Formats: sequence, C-alpha cells, structure tokens
Amino acid sequence: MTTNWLDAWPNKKLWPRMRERRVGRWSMILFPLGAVALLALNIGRLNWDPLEVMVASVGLAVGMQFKVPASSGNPFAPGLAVGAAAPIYFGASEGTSLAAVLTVYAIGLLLGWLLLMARRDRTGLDGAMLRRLLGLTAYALVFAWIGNLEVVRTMDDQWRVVPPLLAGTGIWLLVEAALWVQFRVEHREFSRRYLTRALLGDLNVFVSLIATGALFALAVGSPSIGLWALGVAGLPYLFAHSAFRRFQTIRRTYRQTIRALARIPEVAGLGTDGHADRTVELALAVGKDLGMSRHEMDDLEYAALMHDIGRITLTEPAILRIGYTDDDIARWGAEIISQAPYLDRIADHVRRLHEPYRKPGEQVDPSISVISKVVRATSAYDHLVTDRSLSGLQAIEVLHQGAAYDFDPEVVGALRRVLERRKAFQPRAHHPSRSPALTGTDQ
Amino acid sequence: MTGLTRRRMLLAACYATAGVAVLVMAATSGSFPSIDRWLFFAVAFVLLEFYSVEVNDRLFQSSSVMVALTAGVVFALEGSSAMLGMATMAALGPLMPADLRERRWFQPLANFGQMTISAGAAGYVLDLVQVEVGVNTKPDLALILAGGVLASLVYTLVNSQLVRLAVRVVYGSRDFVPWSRMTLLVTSLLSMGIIGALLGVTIVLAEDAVLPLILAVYLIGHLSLSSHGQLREAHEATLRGFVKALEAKDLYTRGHTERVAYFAQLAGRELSFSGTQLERLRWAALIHDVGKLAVPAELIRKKGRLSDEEYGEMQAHAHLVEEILAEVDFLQPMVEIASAHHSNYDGSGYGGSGHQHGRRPSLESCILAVADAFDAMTSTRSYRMALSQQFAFEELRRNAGTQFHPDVIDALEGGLDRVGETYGSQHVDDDELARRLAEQEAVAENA
Repeated sequence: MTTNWLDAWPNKKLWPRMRERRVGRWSMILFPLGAVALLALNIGRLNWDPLEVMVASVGLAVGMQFKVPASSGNPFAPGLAVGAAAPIYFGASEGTSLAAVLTVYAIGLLLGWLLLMARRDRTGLDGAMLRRLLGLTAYALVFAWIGNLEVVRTMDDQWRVVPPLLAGTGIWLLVEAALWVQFRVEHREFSRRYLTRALLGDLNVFVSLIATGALFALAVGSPSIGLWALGVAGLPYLFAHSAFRRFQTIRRTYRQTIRALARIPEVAGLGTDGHADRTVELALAVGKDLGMSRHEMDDLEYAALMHDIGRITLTEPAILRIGYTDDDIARWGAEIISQAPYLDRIADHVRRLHEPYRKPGEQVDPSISVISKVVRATSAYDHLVTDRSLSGLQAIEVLHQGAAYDFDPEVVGALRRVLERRKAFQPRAHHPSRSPALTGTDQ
Repeated sequence: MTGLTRRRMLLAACYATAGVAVLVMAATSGSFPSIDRWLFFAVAFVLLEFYSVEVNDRLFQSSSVMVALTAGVVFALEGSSAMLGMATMAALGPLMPADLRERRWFQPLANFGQMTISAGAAGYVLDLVQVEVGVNTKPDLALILAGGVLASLVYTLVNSQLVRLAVRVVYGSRDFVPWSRMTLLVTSLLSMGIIGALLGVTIVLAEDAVLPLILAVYLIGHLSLSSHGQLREAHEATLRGFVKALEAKDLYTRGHTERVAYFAQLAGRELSFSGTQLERLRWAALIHDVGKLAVPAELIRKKGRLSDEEYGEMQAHAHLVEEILAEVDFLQPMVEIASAHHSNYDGSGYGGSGHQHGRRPSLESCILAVADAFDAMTSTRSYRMALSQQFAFEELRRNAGTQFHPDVIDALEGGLDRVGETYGSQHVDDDELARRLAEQEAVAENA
C-alpha cells in the first residue's frame, strides 16, 4: 500500500486558523466581558469632560484599525500611541483621572473591536484585543502608582512625567510579550524562545509608537501648541511607518530573490517539482520546534530553498559523462551561492549538507551546523515520500535507522514531533497525487 | 601629483575656507546659546552624522538635519544666535575617528566646509525670522514654523548642491552609477527639517521634559534613512547575486552584463534620461541574460554558427527571464524591458510576453538591444575574435530601422565619443576574418 503522507497534512492555509479559533473563542468571551467590567467600574467615577473622553476613545478605536508593519507578525497598531498618550494627557496620578483613562480604554477598545469585526478583520479574533486591554490597563495602573509615589511627586515639575512613563511602558511590554507568547505557543508550532526573540526584534516599533503618543500628549497639553501637536507627533509617526514598511520590503526582496534563484533548476527541468518548497516548509517547522532564533530561521529557509541549486551545472556535458554524487551537487551549489556576497553563511551550510552526522568510530563533528542537519533530514524525508512513495511512518523509520550516523538524532526527533502533530502517520483512505496547497505558495 | 588629487585638494581648500568664513561671520552675529542645550544637540548631531547612511552610490546622508533645525529654532527663541549655534555644531560633525586614524584630510575638510555653510545659511534665516518675532514675547507659532520650513529648505538645497558638486569633482563622471529617486530623498530630508523645527517649538513651549522623547524621534529619522539605504543595498545585492550566478555558469558572460549595462547607460544619458530611468536601464541590462541560467551550457558556448533550431532555443532565454524572475516584485518593470531585448525595432522578431508582434518595443528595450549587439561584436567570443568598433557601428547602421533604433545607435556613438573610449580590436573589420582568426588560435592552443 502506498500512502502519500501529504494527504495527512491538513491544508496549509486552514491549519493555523483552526488553532487560532480556539484562542479566539476564549478571547471573544473574555475581552468584551473584561472591557464592559472595566467600563462599569470606572464610568461612575468620571469627572472629566465627556467630550474629551469620547474624542480620545474614538481616536483609540480608529487607531486600532491600522497596522504597523512589524516583522514578528504581532499586529501593532497606531492606537497604541493613543493609549500611551491618555494617562499623560488626563494626568492619571489622581484617582478620578485614572478612571477617565480606563474608561477611554474600555470604550475605545470595544468600539475598535466592533469596527474590526464589521470590516471582517481577523485581528479582532485572535486574542489581540484581549492582549491590548490587559496591556493598556497594566500600563495605566503602573503609571498611576509610580506617579503617586512621594519621590516622584516632589520631583521638578517638568520631569515628573518621565518615571511613570518608563515604568508603565516596561510593564506594558512585559504583559504584551507574555500574553503573545502564550497565545502562540498554543499553536505548538513555535517554541517559547523563538517567539520571545521575535518579539524583542520588534522593540523599535513598540518604542516608537509609545514615544509618538507621549510626545503628542505632552505637546497637546501645552496651551500654546494645541493642535500643532498633531504635526509634532504625526509626522514622525509617518516616517516610522514608512521605515518599518521599507524594512519589510527589504526582507521580502531578499526572500523573493532567493526563491527566484532556487527556481532555476526547476525551470531548467533539472529537479523534482516542488521539492525545494516542501523542504523549506518542513525544515522551518523543525526549526521552530528546535527553538531557533529569527536569524537562524532565515538562514534555514534560504539554505533549504537553495540546497539543490548545484543542479544547474548538470547541463555541462563533461559532468554528465563522468557522473556526480550528491556531495558534488552540494559543493557546486555552495560555489554558486558564495558568489552572492550576502549569502556567504548559506553557502557554508549548503557545502556541508551531505556530510554524515558522525562517521563510525569517530566523535561527532561539531562544525556541521544544525541548519545543514535539518535541511539534510527534511530533504531526505521528502525524497523518501515523494520519489520512493514511502508512507510517512516508513520514511521516518528510515531516518531513525540513520540517526546517530547519517542524521542527528535530535533533528530526527524534532521532525518526528512535527509530523506527529500534523497527523502524518495516520493511514488515509484516499490519496490524490499532491496537495495543491503546498505547491507554489508564496510565504 | 595627479589631476585627481589636485582637484580634490582644491575643492577641499575652497570648501574649508568658506566654512571658516561662515564661522567668523557667525561669531560676530550674536551671543552663544546656553551651553547645556548646545551640548545636548551637538552630541545628537555628531552621533547621527557618525551613523550616516549610504543612500545612493557614494552619497552619504544622515538625519542630522532634524537636530540642526531643532537646535536652530531653540537657539533663536532663547535670544541667542542660531547661526553661531548651528554652525559650531555642524563644524564638529565631520570629526570621524576613522578619518583621523588613517590621516585622511580632504574628505573631512570638504565635509566640514559643506556642513558649516549649509548650517550657517539655515541659521541665518532663523535669526532673520527671530528678529521679526522679537525675543521673549509670546512666540507666533505660524511665523516660526514658516521660518523653520524656509530654513530647512535652505539647508537641504545648499547641502545637496554642495555634495553633488563635490562628488562630480572628486569622482568625475566615469563609472558613475546614477543617483536615482533623488526627489524622494530630498523630500524626506526637507520634511525631516520641518519636523526638526516643530520639535524646536515644542521644546521651548513644553519645557525640557520632552528631550528624551525627542531623542526617540531622532532615532525614527535615522531608522527611516537607514531603511532607505538598506533597501537600495538589498536591490543591488540581488542583482549582483544573479549576475554572479550567471558568471559561475558561463565564463564567456563574465563582464558582458556589466559592459552592456555601461553602454546602455552611455546611450541613455545621451538621450537625456533621468537618474531613475538610467538606474532602471542599468538594472534591466544586468538581468537581461538571466534566462541563460536555464539554457543548456553546450548551447551557450557552442563553437561555430548555431542552427536555426538552436538559435530559436537560445532566443527563448529572453522568455525564461520572465519565468525565473516572476516573483521578484521590484524587478518587474526591468523584466519587461529585458524580455523584449531580442525583438526588433520594426516589431518583428522574438519578444517576451509583453511584446506584441508588429508593435515597436519600448525605447529602453531598443537601447538594451543595441548595447547587447555592440558588446557581442566588440568582445571576443569562443567562435570569433573581437571586431573593431568602426565595423560594429557599420553593422548596426546597416540594420538601423529594421532591427535597431537609429537614434539609439547615434546616441551610443555620441556617448562613446564623449567619454573618449574605443572598444573592440583595432583592425579586424570582417566577420569571416574574425572567425578564421579564432579557429587558428584554437588550433595553435591544441597543438
């Protein structure tokens, strides 16, 4: 019996969403409940001009509708800047003003959530709003607490705002990070370490949003600046926004280029269709399981994409006459890759691709990178199931037999975990030739 | 002493003298600003200058204009001389440890002059406005802002013109990678200046507590510029990657793509293309042969003439460019140009998917076709020696109007004349002779 393990792989596009629904379902209940409770607790103690509270709430709600491009995928929104500005503007160190701030948060987030749902934006579903609610509340409470300390109260007038702002921002970032990592870990595709590092990579987005908001609040509070504050804070924000978008374009450009280079063997008819794409997908899942950092993940993706690029030399008649080994392909591939200055590291990974993990009777060679080992194992797995039509279980069994000599046992273990989660080992009733979701999808 | 060194020395001396003159003028223009604020801004200014970004070929830019304008507005409003404060700050900007260590003098001197002049000019404008506003009265925001905008305009313009002049003088025009999207860059510098002025007003009105936040805004400005530079770097690196992969596969292509790019740019400049257009042309030239990566190697370096069938397959590589590069967004306009470089001026011949039979290909494609053919004739191939430049132009002219665009041929010839360069061999004026010579050489090599 031949089983195509790809059948067992749920549709790539649907799969994460199914998990997210579970997180989403809880937050769909918890978020409105929390927001309404916050509103009920605070609205009675409100002694600020309701108009100002409403304007701030609407600003927060509208700000939630836009996304700042951030590389971790965490949907940062300009609304965070409004949230950061509120305690400074309302002066949250007094109890009644704190009530105003929390009211703004509750109304603004609820309103923003409804708007998101009306626009069928998925940010409203995946727990982001619950995270925002808890993060902002923590920020306001710490802001008020620090602002009320005796040391801070006796500080020079103009500097009094700095300590609460710094402490509040720190707590907010912690809450945001902890919840985000918690929600994502439930997907089980990501390790905690990977996520924490990814989030820290977005610190610049977070800090620039907070700074924009704080600047706005300080400026608008000064009577002679007034509405000019929109320019003072808005223009830098636009700059930051375009810069972050450009950073994303840069990443995309590199990725697209490398994908284009990796396509060459296939365009020339020298490789298996879709092998590179499938290897990348699987290798990245293994990398996340092993808790690689963002940079390592990038390198892993590129190495997996280009691991077969050496095949473009297979048009040379001389080479076809003499014959070649996998090792040769890897070496030629590394030579081609190393020509591009930004791909040096990748070339090293590809060069060592076909070296065994450990030769009999010798110590483990520590200089072979984990990236090489992951690409080696996942590429072998893909060959076994597509070219030799083994079932997922049979293929992983072959790798297990090779573990300790050919393959790193740790990597094979991670691969096994990934495949188990994807239920790749369950027998299937029917087997169409290939899952359409896996070929030619862009990341 | 070579001409280049003399030109550089002269330029550095001129700029530095003018810079010192500006400093002297500034010293007489008013009192020095309060030292702690001046220090704060000077440190920020020098730091940003230190981390300046290569935003275009050999054009370094930093977001220090923000700091300069903030400082200028603050100084002017506290009643001291903005010109003096800004010019002294800017004079410190070019102090780079690396330059001092390696004892380079021309560049820091030129930069010193250039920055002092632009900062001094902007400060002068701010001082004029401040006289209108009057010190220690309640400041009129709109007027100050107008002054800030004007000062930022002066700073950006003076700065970019002086830098442009310096680069022209120091590097000459040979081997010049065009500066593209300069309007975008100048606009963003200008708006950074305006943000700077706004921040200055904010400091004066909202007290010093905003200073840490203002540092964050400076950081944002720096991020913005560095993203600009990194994006450019990413594009260049991408193109280099493809060119190198091509060279790894086929030694005869080595240098071909770069030369075609150079010829295309010469012709483009003659046809008065803008910087952005020239860059597009250069990129299209760099990728025009990428399709060859997927063509069998024996075909590319086959000795002797290709059969019709092989010729067809060879030309199909123009189409493979599209297939390989389909996913790379930023290259799409260039791919269109490159994939049509084998179609003829009269609309016949093989073209990519963007080419319609009977339609004239775009001017860029025509330039690329002429540059490609010119280099093919004037460089040595496996099957024939290089032909002379004169012969190449005769051959191009014979096919002008059918295969090649006549104006482009004139433009390329004019461009080569202007830079005074000749390509190809001196005497080989005959295709048959060139092939025979190559065969003789091959026989001699084998013997």
